[in-house]
Amino acid sequence: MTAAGLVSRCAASVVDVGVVAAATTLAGVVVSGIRYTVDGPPFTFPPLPGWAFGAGHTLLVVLYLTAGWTLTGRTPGQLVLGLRVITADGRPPGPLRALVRALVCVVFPIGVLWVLVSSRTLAVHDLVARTVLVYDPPPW
Amino acid sequence: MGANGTAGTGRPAALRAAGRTGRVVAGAAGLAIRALTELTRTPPDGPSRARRTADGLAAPPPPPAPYSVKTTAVVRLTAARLGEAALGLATVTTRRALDVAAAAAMPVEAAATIVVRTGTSIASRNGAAGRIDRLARIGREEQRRNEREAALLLRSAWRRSIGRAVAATDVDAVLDEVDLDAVVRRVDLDAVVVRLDIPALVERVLDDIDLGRIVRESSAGMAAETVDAVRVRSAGADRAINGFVDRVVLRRPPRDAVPAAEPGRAPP
Repeated sequence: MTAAGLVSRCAASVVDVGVVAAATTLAGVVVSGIRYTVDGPPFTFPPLPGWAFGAGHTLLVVLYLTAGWTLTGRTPGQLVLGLRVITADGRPPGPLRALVRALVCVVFPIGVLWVLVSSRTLAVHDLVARTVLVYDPPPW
Repeated sequence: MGANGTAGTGRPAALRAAGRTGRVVAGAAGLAIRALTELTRTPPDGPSRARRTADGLAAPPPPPAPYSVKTTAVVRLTAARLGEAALGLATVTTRRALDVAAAAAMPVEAAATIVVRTGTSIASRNGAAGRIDRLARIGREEQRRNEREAALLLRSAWRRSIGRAVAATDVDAVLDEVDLDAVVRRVDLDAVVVRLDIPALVERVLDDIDLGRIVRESSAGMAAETVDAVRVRSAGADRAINGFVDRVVLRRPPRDAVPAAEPGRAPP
């Protein structure tokens, strides 16, 4: 199995960003709808300070990535692109390893560019968490 | 057991059919005999009105039945018992015979299979099969022609008879007598529409069509194809970028020297 390159990783990230954005929007609409029902018009999104929005989003993304890699070895975006995160023994990473990979991904996203020069096509978060992102499309 | 045997009986279909026919015949005979005896039996007593005297008082109990009646009953009972015993004997005999026949059917079937296989292989070896095929084709064509002729004949006869019947009928006179407008006026179209139950009909048709499955399958197929295309394209782009960096920028041997398994689905 070959490690996935830059384009596949970025495309999967785009899909994941879309999923998370859709989830955030849905949650916002639901909360606003509840507020609209209880307090009356106008219909506005909840007034959230920027730092709270950023921190909440960061936490959400970390949880999302950790859960995906721990449970199935892939996030929805990686499922679409037919990629899978595995460890040296070929299995999905454990919770701790997945959490470390997710944190490095979120804190240092530019590290994905290391796949261009890495001889084994590994990104920085792959090196830190000692994982590999391989082409492994689901059988269905 | 034979190939046609089922779990219940384990006998070939022909034997089962024979057994069922015998059962039906025996049952019909029994029913006929019972009906005849019911018809010929004398009624036990008259109607209740006759059991009163002319004065309207209750009549005394009827005199005891004469000896001959009892004899008749005994004879009838004995005959019925004997008939049932004969039927039982026949049943047992039939079962034994069917068992024997079923046991014999297997070797017979095997022997027939062997004969047919041997004959087929011999015929195919010495070219007789080709000749038989040719003959069969000729016979088939001949039979088709015969059937066509017969169908033509039947159709023309039918048409001629219909034409003769129509010619014999004075349709105009019949139409003059029948007031079609009145007939149409009497037809309650609304009731017909109500009885047709068009919504249920449409629903049934839609159920049969199963539009959902069609849409599901086609959209699932399209989605799978799209996803496959995306995977293949992105993997190709990965390889291209890796190759470019390796060869042009870093000037080192390409890292994917060993061809990897093609991503995406297995080729059709």
